[in-house]
Amino acid sequence: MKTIHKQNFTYRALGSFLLNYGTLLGFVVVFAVFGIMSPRFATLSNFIMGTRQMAILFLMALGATFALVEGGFDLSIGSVVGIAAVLACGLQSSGFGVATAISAALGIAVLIGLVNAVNIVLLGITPFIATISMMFIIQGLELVYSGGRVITRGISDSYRFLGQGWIGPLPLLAIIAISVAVIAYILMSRTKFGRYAYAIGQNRRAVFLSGVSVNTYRMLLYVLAGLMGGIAGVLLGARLGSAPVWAGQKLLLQAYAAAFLGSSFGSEGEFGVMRTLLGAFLIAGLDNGLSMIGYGWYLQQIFLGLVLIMAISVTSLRKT
Amino acid sequence: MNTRHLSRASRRAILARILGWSTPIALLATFLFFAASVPYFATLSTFLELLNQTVVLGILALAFLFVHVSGGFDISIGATCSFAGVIAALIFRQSGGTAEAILAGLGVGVLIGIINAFLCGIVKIEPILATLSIMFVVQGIELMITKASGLYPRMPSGFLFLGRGSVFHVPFSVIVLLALALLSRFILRRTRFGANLYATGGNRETARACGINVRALSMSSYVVSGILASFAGIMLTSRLGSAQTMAGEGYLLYAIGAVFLSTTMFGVGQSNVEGSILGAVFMMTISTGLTMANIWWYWQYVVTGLLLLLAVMATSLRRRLSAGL
Repeated sequence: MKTIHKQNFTYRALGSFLLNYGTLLGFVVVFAVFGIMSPRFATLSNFIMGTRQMAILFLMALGATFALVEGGFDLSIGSVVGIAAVLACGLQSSGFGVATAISAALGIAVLIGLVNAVNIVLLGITPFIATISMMFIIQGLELVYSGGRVITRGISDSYRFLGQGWIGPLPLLAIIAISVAVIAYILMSRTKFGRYAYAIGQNRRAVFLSGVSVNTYRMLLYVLAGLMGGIAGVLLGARLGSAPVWAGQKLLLQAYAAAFLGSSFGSEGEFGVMRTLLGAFLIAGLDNGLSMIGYGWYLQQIFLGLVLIMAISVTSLRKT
Repeated sequence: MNTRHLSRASRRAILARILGWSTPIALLATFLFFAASVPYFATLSTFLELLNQTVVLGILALAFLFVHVSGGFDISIGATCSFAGVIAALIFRQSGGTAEAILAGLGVGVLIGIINAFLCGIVKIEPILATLSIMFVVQGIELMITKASGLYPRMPSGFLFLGRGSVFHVPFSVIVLLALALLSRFILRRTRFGANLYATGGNRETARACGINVRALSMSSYVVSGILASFAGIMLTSRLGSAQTMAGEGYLLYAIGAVFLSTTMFGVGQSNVEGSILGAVFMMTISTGLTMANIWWYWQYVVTGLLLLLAVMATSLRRRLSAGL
């Protein structure tokens, strides 16, 4: 009798451990393989360089996380990143100051978030449709503004420093990302706002019935998502020193993969700031590793799609 | 007091009625606008070209319709469309025949449909997420095969006839579209399968209580959409005479828009076949008109997005108004 109980217990514990942390183990294995195949991968300098890409990815993924927490979606953040980058660079090119350019870019991002918020929360449009149409609209406007050309002239050095500068041994981007992560974590896990946000994601009706102004919180989350996209875009432009037109879209898949990957850790299957950070780290590492061993972007896309499926499956299976 | 309450209700009813016909009205208005302001728009050749373009979009809209009606969401249809075309082109490259290529293309559609069905029905992932991920995977595979360029194998004339041939001056592709549309309409309106699909989409729990095998039904809808999407890909490849990477992606949003627009057609209120086809025509009209008026293609993005938004707003508004009665 006792032996059988012990066996059951071990199997169940193993199963649940695998479910919670299996993907993490998988990634560790994959990274080990990368390290073997390409010696440069497992070096400290590569890691530190990689944090720059990870920082931008994390900010986008954080934006996605905000929308996901409330139970929705924001597919427009890719184009928000694009238009923020283009606007920040373009305004500087036209002679405006750095502060003005960045403020304008962030302002537009917040505005887009607000429009999404109104569409989804007040007008009741499905988040998917609402944000995908915004994505098209914003992408189009970005193309109109930039004329499809890459903006490279007139970018100021202080702006570049944001994306390419170092504070001591760490890139400024990494420091910014970590600061945002800490602030966001405190916001989501230690404040009333965060608790309500999660509650709304779980059971909107219950929160509504307890008298909380559900609409306000939901709208704020979408605005925050837009803001994150804006910050990511501004920093992306700073890092590259120019604004490539389709930059945000490629990162969109990675951002969502990161957010969902993050949600597959731990036991609840919830989204979270720190989990998304971990997810972003893993996805950026995957990106880095694949390019180090020479695989094209196409393979990476397949990988990411599979990662997405795996992460979501794990979460779904856990819920049943 | 009572009369005032009545008239508010009837005002809502009238508004709901108008919204129900908003798309045909808008379509007519748009057509007239373009006819008046863009040269050569109102010509037969433009019209035929428009119809030709609408075929692929129409079939994709039908694909989306089946899944949408049963309450699901298949965003991978664009990727399936392109991929089926790529597979067909590959068959031709190995000197395969028309039949083999078509079978292979459709087979791929069935396969993707089955995978989608599996993810949504058995693993129970949210349809949006599942089909989105599959879309990325399929795109990735397609890119790997084509290395982001097109495939230009020699295609037998039998295959090319599908997309380019005419029967008594009517493009064969349009005949195919009409046939598929009529078939879909028949299935959706006059078979138990179709009725069950609508029921599942309307209220899943109620449908289940009525004894409908909800899971099997929605799973089969993904297979149907996979087949239709791959069919669209074959038609597209036939018309182009080559397989272009990501060719189907551009149609995705228009297809979704067309299906959403169909609820504001003919006052029906539910997504339906005729409405979707007409919606597809509407989308293509806008696209063609803008292109002919030399409007930057960038603006088309903006217009497409706005159109989609408006379509959904109209649906949403109409539903709320009707529910309020």
